[in-house]
Amino acid sequence: MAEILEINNLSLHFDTPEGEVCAVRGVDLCVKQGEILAIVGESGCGKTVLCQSVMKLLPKNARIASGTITVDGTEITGCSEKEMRSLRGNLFSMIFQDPMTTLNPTIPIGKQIAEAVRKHSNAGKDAAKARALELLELIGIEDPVVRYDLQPHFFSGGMRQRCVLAIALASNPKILFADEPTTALDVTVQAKILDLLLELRDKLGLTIVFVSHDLGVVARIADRVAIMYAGKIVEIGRVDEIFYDPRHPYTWGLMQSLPSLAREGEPLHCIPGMPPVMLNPPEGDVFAYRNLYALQIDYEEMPPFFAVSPTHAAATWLLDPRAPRIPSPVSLRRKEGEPQ
Amino acid sequence: MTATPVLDVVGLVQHFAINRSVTIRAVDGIDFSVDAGEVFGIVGETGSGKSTVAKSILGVNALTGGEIYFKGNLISAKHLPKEVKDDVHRNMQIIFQDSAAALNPHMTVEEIVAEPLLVNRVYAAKEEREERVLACLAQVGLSAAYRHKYPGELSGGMRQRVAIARSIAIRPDLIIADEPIASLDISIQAQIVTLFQHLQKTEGFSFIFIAHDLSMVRFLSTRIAVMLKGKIVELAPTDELFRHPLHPYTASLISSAPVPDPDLERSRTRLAYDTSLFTGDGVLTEVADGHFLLM
Ligand SMILES: Nc1ncnc2c1ncn2[C@@H]1O[C@H](COP(=O)(O)OP(=O)(O)OP(=O)(O)O)[C@@H](O)[C@H]1O
Ligand SMILES: Nc1ncnc2c1ncn2[C@@H]1O[C@H](COP(=O)(O)OP(=O)(O)OP(=O)(O)O)[C@@H](O)[C@H]1O
Ligand SMILES: [Mg+2]
Ligand SMILES: [Mg+2]
Repeated sequence: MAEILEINNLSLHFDTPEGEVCAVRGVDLCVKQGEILAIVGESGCGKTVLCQSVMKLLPKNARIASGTITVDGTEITGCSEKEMRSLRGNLFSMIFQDPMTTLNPTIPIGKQIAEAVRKHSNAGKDAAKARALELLELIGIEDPVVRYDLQPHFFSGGMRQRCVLAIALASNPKILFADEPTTALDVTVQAKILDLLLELRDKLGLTIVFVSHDLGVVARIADRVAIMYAGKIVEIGRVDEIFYDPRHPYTWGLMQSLPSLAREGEPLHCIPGMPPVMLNPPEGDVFAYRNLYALQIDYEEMPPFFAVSPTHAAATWLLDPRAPRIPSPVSLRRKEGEPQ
Repeated sequence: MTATPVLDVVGLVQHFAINRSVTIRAVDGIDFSVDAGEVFGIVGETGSGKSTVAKSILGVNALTGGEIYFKGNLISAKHLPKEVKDDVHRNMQIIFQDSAAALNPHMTVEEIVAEPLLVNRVYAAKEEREERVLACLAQVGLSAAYRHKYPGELSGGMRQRVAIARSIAIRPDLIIADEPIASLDISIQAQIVTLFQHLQKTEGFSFIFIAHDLSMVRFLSTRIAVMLKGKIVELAPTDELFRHPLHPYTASLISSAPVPDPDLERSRTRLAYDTSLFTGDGVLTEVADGHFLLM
C-alpha cells in the first residue's frame, strides 16, 4: 500500500500575548492508503491542531515553524488557499469535534447536506436533494424526509453529529479526518457509525485519521495508534502492540484510567497533574513531571524513539538498554478471555 | 424504601409540536425516583429523550403531562410557593452536555464559581466564600492560578470543570449531570468520576448521571434506567442490569459498548436490535426485586 499522507518533522506554533505556544513539536507520521490511524491523547495535546494543519484550516495566529506535509504525492505546505480549497473538496474532509461549528443553526439540515453535495459535484438541485436524503438514511436518521427540513436545534446532540458526518462524506473524500466523531453518540449508534466507517474504508479505500480519547472505540476501529503528549507523538504502533504491549508510561497511565480495566471496588487510577501549557517547554521530557517512572535523565534530555518492533516505537528512556527494567503495570493481556 | 426520595418523576410526558402534522414525542410517559445519596444513571439511544428529561425536571419546558416532586414537594406546577422555588434553585444543580460553552465569557473563573454562593447568600464573609471557591476549584483539579482567568482562556475540558465546580459549590442535594464528561479525555474523566464518587460518599449528594459511556455509568451508578424513544424500557440496580439484561435493547446496548481490547472487540458478536420495531407499548413492571421491564 502507498503512503497517502506523510508528515515530516512538523512543528507548529501559536503566537499569543504570553509568547509562543508550541502546539505540535517535530511530528513524523505516515499513513497508508486505506489505513485507519487513531490519534489518542489528553486534551490540549495537539490532536485537532495536527489535523487542522494538514487541512490548512488553522487559526490566524498559527504558524508552521518547520516540516513538510505530503498528501498523495503533493507537498502542500506551500499551497495557496485556492489550491487548498480544491484539495479540501476532493482529497480530504474533516469532521469537527463540535458539530455546531460545522452546522449553520438557521438552515435546515437537509439543505446544508445538499449544499455540500453540490459544492463538490455538478449535481443538480434534485439530484443533490436525493443524495442528501440518501446520506441521511446512510447515517441512520429516521424519517429523513421529515428531518430534511428541520433546523439543527430540533435534533439531539447525537443526531447533529451524524449530520456532520453526512456533510463530510458528501464530497467523497480520499482522506477523512474524524475529530472525535462519535463522542456524542450512544453505543449502538456509535457501533453503526464505526461499522459505516470501516465499510467505507473496505469498499472505497477511504483513509481515516481518527482522533479519539475513547480507547474502546480505538480498539475497535484502528489499524495503528499514535499516542500524543504535549505536541509530540510518544508512542506509535499497530493496535495490538499498543494495547497488549504498551511501553510508554504515559500510555500505561491512559490505560489505567479506564473503568473497564479497573479492578472491582478499587478507585480509578488518575495520571497525576495536568498536561503542561506549551509556552516554555522545559528541558528534557515534558512528561517527566507526571511520570511515576521518571529517571534522572528524563529531566535533562528528551528521549529519542526506541524501536520495539519494526512497526512499534516509543519515546521513553525506559527502553534504553541502560535503564532499569520496569514491568508494565497495565493488566490487559492478549486473549485473556472475556472480562464477564 | 420509606424515606422520601430526593426526586420523584411521575408519568412525565414532553411532546414538541413542530407543526400541525408533526409532533415529536421526546418523552412519552416515564416514572422513576432518585433516593437520597444515590447515583441514578440514565442511558439510551441518541434522541431517546434523556436531555429532555433533565430539562423538564429543571422546568425549562412546560410539561405536556405528569408531575415532578423534589423532596416531596411538587415542583412542576406553574406557581410554586417561594420556599419551594428557592429550595429548587439552591438544591438542584445541573451540569449540561455543553455547560462549558454556556459559561459567562465576561466573568472570571472565581466569579463564575462564586455566583451561586452569592445569589443564595450562603456565606456572609467574603473570606469564607473565597475559601469555598478555591476548595471547589481544587476538587475539580484546577489550581488557584486559574481563578482570575476567563473562560476563553481555558480548554474545553477545563471549562467543563469550572462548570462542575460551580454546581458543587453550593452543596446541592441533587446534581443532574447530562453527559458531564463526554467532552473530557479519559484521564480527566477518571478524575471527575472519582470526584463525583467522593462527593457522593462524603457529602451525600444525589446524582442523576446521564451518559453514553456505559463503562462509566456502570462504574458510578447504583441504579440505571435505559431509555428508548421517550420510554424507560428497563430499570434495575447496576449489577443486576449488566448481569441479566432483559430488554433486547438493553442487551444490544451492553453488547455494543466498546471495550479497550482489540482482539475481544473485533471477535465479539454484537446483538442487534431493530429499534423501528419498538412500539413503546406496555407498562414498566417489576419482574424481580427492583428490576423493572417495559412489558
Ligand atoms: N488559536 C490558538 N491560540 C493559541 N493556542 C492555541 C490555539 N488553538 C489551540 N491552541 C493550543 O494548542 C494546543 C493544542 O490544541 P488542540 O485543540 O489541538 O488540542 P486537542 O488535543 O485537540 O485537545 P482536545 O482533546 O481538548 O480537543 C493547546 O494547548 C491549545 O491551548
Ligand atoms: N426544543 C425542542 N423542540 C423540538 N424537538 C425537540 C426539542 N428538544 C428536543 N427535541 C427532540 O426530542 C427528542 C429527544 O431529544 P433529547 O435531546 O432529549 O435526546 P437525548 O436522549 O438527550 O439525545 P443525545 O443522546 O443525542 O443527547 C429528539 O428527537 C429531539 O429532536
Ligand atoms: Mg481537539
Ligand atoms: Mg442529550
